[in-house]
Amino acid sequence: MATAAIPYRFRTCESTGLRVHADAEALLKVNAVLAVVFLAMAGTAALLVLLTRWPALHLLDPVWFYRLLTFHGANALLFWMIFFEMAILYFAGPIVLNSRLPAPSLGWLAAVLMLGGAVLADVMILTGQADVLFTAYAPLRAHPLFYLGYILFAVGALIVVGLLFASLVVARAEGTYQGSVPLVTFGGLTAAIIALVTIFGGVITFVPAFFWSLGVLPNLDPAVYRLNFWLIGHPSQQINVSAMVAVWYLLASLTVGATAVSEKVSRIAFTLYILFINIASAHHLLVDPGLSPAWKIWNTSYAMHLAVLASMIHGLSVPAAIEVALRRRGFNRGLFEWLWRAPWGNPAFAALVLSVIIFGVIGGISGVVFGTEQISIISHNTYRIVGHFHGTVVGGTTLAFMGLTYYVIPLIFRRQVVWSTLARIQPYLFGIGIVIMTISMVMAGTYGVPRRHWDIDLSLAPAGLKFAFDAPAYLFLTLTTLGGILAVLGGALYVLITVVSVFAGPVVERIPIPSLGPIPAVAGGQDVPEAQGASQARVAHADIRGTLTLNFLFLGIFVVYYLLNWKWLADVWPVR
Amino acid sequence: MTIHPPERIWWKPISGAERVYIAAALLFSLITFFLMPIWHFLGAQNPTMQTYRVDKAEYLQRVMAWADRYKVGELAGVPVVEPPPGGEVYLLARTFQWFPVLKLRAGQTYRVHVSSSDLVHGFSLQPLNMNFMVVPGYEYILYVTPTQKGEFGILCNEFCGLGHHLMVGKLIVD
Amino acid sequence: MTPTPVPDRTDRVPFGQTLLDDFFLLLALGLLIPFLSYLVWGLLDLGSVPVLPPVDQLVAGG
Repeated sequence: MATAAIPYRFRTCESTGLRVHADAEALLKVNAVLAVVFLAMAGTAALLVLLTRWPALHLLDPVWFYRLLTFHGANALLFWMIFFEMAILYFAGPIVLNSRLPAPSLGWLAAVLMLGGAVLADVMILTGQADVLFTAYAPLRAHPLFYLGYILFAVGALIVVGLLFASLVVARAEGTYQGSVPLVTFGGLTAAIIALVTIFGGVITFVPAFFWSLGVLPNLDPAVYRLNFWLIGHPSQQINVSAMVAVWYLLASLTVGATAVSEKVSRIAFTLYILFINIASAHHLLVDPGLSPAWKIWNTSYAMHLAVLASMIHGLSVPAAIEVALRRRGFNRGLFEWLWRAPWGNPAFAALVLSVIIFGVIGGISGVVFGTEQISIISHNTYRIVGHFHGTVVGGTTLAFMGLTYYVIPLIFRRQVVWSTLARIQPYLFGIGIVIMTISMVMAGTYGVPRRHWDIDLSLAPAGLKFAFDAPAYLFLTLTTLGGILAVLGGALYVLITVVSVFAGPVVERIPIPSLGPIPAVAGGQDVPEAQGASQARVAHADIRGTLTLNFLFLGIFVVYYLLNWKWLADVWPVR
Repeated sequence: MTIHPPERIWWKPISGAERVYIAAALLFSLITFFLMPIWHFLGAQNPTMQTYRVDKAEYLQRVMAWADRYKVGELAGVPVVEPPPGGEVYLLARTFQWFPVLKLRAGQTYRVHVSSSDLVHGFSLQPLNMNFMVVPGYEYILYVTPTQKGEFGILCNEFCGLGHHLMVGKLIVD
Repeated sequence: MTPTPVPDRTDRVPFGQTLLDDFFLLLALGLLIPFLSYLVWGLLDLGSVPVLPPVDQLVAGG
């Protein structure tokens, strides 16, 4: 271990003024690069799966469909997301706190474990030894090395989470910041705590499964497996939510110089996530046997929807922060001048706003509705669920992470984002594709289309038993494919721009960040223009009328869709 | 900026504008929570079910015996079974079949027993889109009242192996 | 370029702020609440699923 006499290698970021520890930065880079590699693989599998679920094309045979669906789930939901989140933790902890990363060699060990585990799991999947889908519900059984792959990945992530907490302790002890941690760090802390719940869930699920697959444990109770699995399965997605929200606040600052309207409100919202967001894993088990209605209702509700309230609060605070920042630049006319005159040409800003909207309107609303105990009856395991989580994880988190990349490239990799015209349209291409795809998925599922199913034509089923889905199901599956293709193109463009920029982009020393100077250009995009006669004087109180209007509109949509679903439920047969 | 520490004391009163929205969102959160227990007591569709632990092989035998007793025909090699109205109904999920084909009477409430003799499956009744999990080792009883006449399909919507999409069943109501 | 904090008051830090600044408290609660509410309660529910009674008792309306 280093002693106080040995100087740690730091550089001072010329753009943000942060003191950046070299080891923390190096680890951030490695995790970010690995994340994008796994995203590329997950996206390729996504395309093939999409083209198979489109009845008109039905590309893959059943074996490769289920195999690549397993691959897509593991690589998108676990490997892409969590590698990127490790990068975010290195940033939100040591770098934002101007502090050193203690024990960097552990960080390298963690990266090796995570990479090794991911590769192991992927090899098992692609060689047909884990045709169990990423959930691997017992008694479906995979090769022991598949479970081992998951376990190694989890252990690596656990080390990085431990390093985050260690960084917080070291930064506080060495006085590298004053007072409370910055909001982005608090969001990173939220993600890290949820990651610990996730990893705990992983241990209780995959360690027994590993021993069972070896024949050491005689059997696994399938209901207990499902309960345990969803303690890693959904919390891993809640890491995504917390990290995404932290990134929203970060991007709001980087793109328009925004600051939180109320630190108290935003921090309380993150705290509600910490306390209650993980219990809603119950929403996977609402139509399962054995669990009581009381358990189902209390847990699926995120404790009386308090963690849902937290999301709705962030959905207010982030746009509000942006509105206040832009009004201060002089875009003060009426309800929405700030919105029209915002830097839509900055791909990071576009990604930020699209992420907030898609996560909230599509992902959030569908999540709360389908997570209602009784409405699960008309939703569970249908394509509605697939639409929901692509809204949250892809339209929300992945798009936000893409937006952040447009700052990681110049700030961390010290390169300019190449092909600025293409970079500008990339978030829109991806975002619009996801909107079309996810809404179509929800609609298809409303007509009964199942998830994880090779063939809704039921062409291989016995003739006397076959039945046909209504025509709208086919229409919506076609639209799903079209939207998905657009999204895959947007994703491919993101990977291409990122790889070329990092390895061959022009070197850049600094990029100006709005509140640290006069209105300047941002990486890959256009300037935030200044209104005529703008003054730099502080606005007396936060004017957030535009945001309030949009948020009440959101609430209205929520109420309507929510009530519609109760009606649809009441139309099916009585059952209890 | 969100990457800078906040002011020394940031626990301050919340502005009126934020309060209004947060209050509305909180109200909506509470209403949507309480509607669940309310519907549990007053609504007609609930995933409540009565669950028992069973042996997979024993359940299989029980279903076979019951199906033999009330068999009225056959469809695509699967027995068609018509139980007494308002009585016990058994459904078995197994790779890759729903057993048997059921013939029920509209307006009657049946005790429908569901389980699997092998893996986890997903019961999905179409086009009604009613969905429940089927877990081996757990037999649950759903009190179901068919309210429409016709032929209904049963899909499996939980992956259960490479023949998952072969699982199609039928429920006839007259 | 971290903004210099301006200690213009000597007020006590509000209790709510102190709580939210305590990352180990948040960690403890963040682990404990899902462990108890989701996992332990869920396992208790699954553990208390009764074994199937003799079939004739079942039909009589158990």
